[in-house]
Amino acid sequence: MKDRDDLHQQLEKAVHNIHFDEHMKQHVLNHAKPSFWEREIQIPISIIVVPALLMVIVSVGLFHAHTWFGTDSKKGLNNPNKMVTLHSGTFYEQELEKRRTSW
Amino acid sequence: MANRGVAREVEQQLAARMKQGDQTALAELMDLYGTGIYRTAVLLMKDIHLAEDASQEAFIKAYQRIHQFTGQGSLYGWLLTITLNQCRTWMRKSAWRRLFYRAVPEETMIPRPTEVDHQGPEQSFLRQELLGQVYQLPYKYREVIILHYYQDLSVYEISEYLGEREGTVKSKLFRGRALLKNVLEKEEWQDEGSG
Repeated sequence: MKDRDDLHQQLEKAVHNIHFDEHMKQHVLNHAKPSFWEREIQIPISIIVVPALLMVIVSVGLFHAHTWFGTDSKKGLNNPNKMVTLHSGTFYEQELEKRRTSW
Repeated sequence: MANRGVAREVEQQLAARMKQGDQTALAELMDLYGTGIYRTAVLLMKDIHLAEDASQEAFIKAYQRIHQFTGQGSLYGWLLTITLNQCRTWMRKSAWRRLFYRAVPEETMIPRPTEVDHQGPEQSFLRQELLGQVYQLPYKYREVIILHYYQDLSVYEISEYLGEREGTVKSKLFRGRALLKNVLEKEEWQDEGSG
């Protein structure tokens, strides 16, 4: 009765002439270059912090500008366009005010 | 495998040196594990030329990706995993090539036992038949058979290296052995447990 060592030995016999030779080693050494993506790099903190701060400042600025302009434009658009519907038709509120005061 | 027992400290030192870009560490790694990795690739791929490329590529990748080696497992195991992935990729490519170009031979060289068998011609014939059967196995079964019987890996280790469940590995091992059954019975080999 034989065990798994027998199969191991047969497989070993099948490949015992095969060696990782110097030629193969040299090929690997010639082609083994540290990967560009895997390499370790050091980034100075200022390079990260300064653009990050700038981005925050610009973002906050843009947000506020949008809020202000948004409000202004709302005011500018809504007032002249505010409409009032009466039995006789639909009118601009400003026009109605003007007529009312002129009457 | 002969060199599997290399001390963990030696492996850790080699890995540390490789992380610093030391190519001599890579050369030492190839001295330690090159032949074992190459032979495994030959048995898996049935083609000495493909195996040569795959094993060389495995060492190149290991060097390039050494920063991914965390040091938790063995360096040999990590290298073996890269080799297995490499072999799978090459086999997949080879299968596609065979599909489109039928003229391309399935394998350019199948290693056969070259030692004179002192147990006589009958034993020699059976052993050659066994090897022929191993080479005939579908790749997924041959992979676990080679890892279990040639690399002496346990089911747990194989599952770790292949990224598969232990149950899957056991099942593949069982089916692989079943496919080898005729030859194993002729040889009166025991269908042992897969621990």
